[in-house]
Amino acid sequence: MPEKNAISLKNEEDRWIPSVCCMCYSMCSIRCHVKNGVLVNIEGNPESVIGEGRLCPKGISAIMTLYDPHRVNTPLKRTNPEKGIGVDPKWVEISWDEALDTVAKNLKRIHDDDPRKLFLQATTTTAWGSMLGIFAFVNAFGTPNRGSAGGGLHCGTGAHMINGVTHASWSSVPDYEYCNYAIYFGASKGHAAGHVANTNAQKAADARSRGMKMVVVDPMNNFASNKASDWLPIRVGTDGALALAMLNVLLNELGIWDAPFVKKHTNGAYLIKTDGLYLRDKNKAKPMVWDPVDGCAKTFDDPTVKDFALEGSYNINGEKCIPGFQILKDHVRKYSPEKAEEITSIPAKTIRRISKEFGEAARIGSTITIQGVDLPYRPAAAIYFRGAQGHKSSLHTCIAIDLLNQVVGSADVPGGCLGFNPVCYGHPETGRPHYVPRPDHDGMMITGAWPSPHLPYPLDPPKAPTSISLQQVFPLSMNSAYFVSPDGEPMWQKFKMPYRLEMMINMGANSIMSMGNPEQVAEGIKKIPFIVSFDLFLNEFTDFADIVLPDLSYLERFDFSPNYPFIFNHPAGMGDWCWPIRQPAVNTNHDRRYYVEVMIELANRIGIGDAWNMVVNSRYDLKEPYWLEPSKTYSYQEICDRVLQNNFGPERGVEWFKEHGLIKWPKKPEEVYWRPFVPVRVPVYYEYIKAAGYQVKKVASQFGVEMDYSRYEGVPDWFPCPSHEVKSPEYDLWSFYYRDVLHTNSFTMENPWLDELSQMTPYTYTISINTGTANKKGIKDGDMICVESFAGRKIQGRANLTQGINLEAVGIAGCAGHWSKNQPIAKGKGVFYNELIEIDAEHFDPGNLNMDLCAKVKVYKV
Amino acid sequence: MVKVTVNFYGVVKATLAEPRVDVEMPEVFTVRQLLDSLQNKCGEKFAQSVVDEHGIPRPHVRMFINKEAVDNYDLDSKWKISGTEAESSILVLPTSEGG
Repeated sequence: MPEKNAISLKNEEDRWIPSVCCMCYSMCSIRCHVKNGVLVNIEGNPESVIGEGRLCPKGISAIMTLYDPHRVNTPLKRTNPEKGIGVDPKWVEISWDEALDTVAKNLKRIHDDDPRKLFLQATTTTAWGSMLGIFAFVNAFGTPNRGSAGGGLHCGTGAHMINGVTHASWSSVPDYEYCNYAIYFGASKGHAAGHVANTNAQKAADARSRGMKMVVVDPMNNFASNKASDWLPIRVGTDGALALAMLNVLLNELGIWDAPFVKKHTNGAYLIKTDGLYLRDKNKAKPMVWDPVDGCAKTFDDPTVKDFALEGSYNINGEKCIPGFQILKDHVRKYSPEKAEEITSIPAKTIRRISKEFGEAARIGSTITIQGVDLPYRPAAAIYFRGAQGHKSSLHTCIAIDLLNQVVGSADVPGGCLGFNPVCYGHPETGRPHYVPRPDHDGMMITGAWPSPHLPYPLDPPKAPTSISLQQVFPLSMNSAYFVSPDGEPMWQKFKMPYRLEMMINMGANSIMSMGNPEQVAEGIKKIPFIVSFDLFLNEFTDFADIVLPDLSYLERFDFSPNYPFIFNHPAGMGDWCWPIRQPAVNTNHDRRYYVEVMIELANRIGIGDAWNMVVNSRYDLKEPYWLEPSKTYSYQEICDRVLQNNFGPERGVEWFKEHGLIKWPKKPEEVYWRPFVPVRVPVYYEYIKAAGYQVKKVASQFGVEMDYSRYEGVPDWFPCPSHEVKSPEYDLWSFYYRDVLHTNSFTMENPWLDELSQMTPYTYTISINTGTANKKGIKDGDMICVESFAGRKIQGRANLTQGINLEAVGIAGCAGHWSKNQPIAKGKGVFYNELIEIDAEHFDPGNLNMDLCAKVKVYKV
Repeated sequence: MVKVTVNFYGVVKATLAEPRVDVEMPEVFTVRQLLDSLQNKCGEKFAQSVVDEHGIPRPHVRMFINKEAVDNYDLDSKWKISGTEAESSILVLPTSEGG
């Protein structure tokens, strides 16, 4: 290890400490330069594959957040019972003893009464390992109510759940090493913030230098598109229609699909009855396929199947059955490129061109040898993320885009669309961590690793709602805004929910800003009688808290698994596995405590320490002698030690990792390009969604509740957003927000270095509008303008005129515009886009509850 | 016969309103047999919160027998208990999160 990367024991006043960043959820490996107990510099750690020595401005600037004079340093208690936006809580300082006594008393009361009355909210800007304090507590306490504020509702419910179903991963990227043609739908992976940002940035740059063609579908010429070979400035919220038209061109105009892949690795051959469900055999209830050689139907796993029919129609015992692939092929015919042009504004000619290029680039039938292993070679990938899926058509848009990969056979093979590490066979000395996707009863894939117990597939069967999120009647959802929506209470009443929330514990989220317009969020939050918030700063959310507990910065604490599970923020593709740890660069000199340690103490105080230990045993697959005995109490340090030793052997506990910072070992081709080796199938026909629709309807009808079942179909459609239904010519533009590369959610806005950078760019604090459109409205660059939604909500900011945006679009970087007096640097800077977001059922995807993030607006000079 | 003490944690404990139950099992038994015994002992609430229509533990259910994690999709493998007592644990982890 280079001297610079090691902890110097000889001179403790000048040392480099390996650790892990947490300024976004990429969790890049870093090394911290500490002199005389003061952190003076942060760099990327070149020893690690997570960041590969690179660090973005956010990571470098973290030093300013650490030493921010406005941090909370001691527990605070509210003395003003009135709550509201702009209402001073009138904080008084209290001791940790008083704070924890109060919190524990309330927790115990609720636990004894009805554990479901507790809601735990967490920011997404933390490592999954650090989420232990939330995960374990939720499960040990026995409440189903948990949320991630805006994080999950804006980006995760569609993209992550469908990536879980199709790639056994949280997200997906092109296989940068081998991909020759990548299409990005509303995504900026490799070009901005997000999962594994710094590693992917280099990989994407290398791929472009190598000649990878890159088509970016985005209303704005932003971080990815300005480095692309093609930018398609699509109309806001219409990506799904474009993907469906591409599928139509591939399947029906060009006849391009990878038949062997579809037969072997998808359910394209499964026979579908007229009710939309699988034809199943009578004995084992297994899905059936048509064997065209023997001319009969067999179960999908019958070893005598000689071939799988993908096309045609078959009469089986008097019932008409059609292979799922044929249904998809027929279904997408209605999405002609001409129709898609009307919806998306992308010319039909362009749609045909990119479809052809994508299909030909996949090189169906070709193979490649990597490290002596022969593999299919499909160097074409279609990926998507927040921009494409952040709409009312979220669920079907994600499905439509990913189907491009499945039909050309480019899913999780060299050159194609890769999940982030769905297969891991573990460190060579221990075989841990170990996870592999597996088939269910129907042969369909269950992901091998997932951060949450709520898997993307199979779904929990719908039933009478028990959670405030109503997830039991929205089984495709991962998060829900019902807990703050004005439509929540009517739904709870309709479903006869027997309780309401009485307490919230918040870990670093600022849901007043991050979910949608703050008036609606505030009304929902105010109804929760007792709120505890862990945070570094006072902000718009803590204004609603009853107790604020000062958390440690990530530069002051230890985390044993910042990058595990590897399906979240570990680089895809060949190379090394890497498990780094996070450790304190400096010690806090204030009365702050790490929230995970506080949650352990609270769990033990209220008598759920046994369940806590069992959750940790389960989550980290702890074996003897590292198993946590339910009856014993363990410190956080002991838990860290056991998890690390459980995975990497008795000699590699906390102290070993503190010295070395990380452990690496090489990936195998069978792990990275796992699809040929793991006997699982993924859907090209979403039968489980169709089946879920019947089940939801049955439950809802028991309560006399009418619901929208349009999303419960086996094949995807494009559905308009509410903004597309607005016909008033006065409201002629679509507004949207994008994730700025300089910021993470709302919390980095208070960082002075990032503020300075933000002021140097023409984008971060402004409203971007097409130059031609602005000229017609008499708007000049720098003018103060108002963006007013059809619902009457308004935001103001300086106009940034650019050619690089769709003529009908207004683009704003989220999530600026703080108003808290406790955010003196961020206050009043930039534009608070979320003001325009409605938090009601009309703006939720009725399938997965993803929030619609665009609005139809008019723009005028102030 | 072996007395298997089954400890419940989290939501399943709240649902059943019991921290643990004892069931009698043969020295060699399968997880399916254990689940059947638990259904007989604990009733419909147990079935609804722990297993699906095929009798397979739901995805968010974690089971352990003598500290060994049970494979939810391999319910017919045999567990041999040495001695007269064993301990099993059942966790239900229903939660949702985004990122």
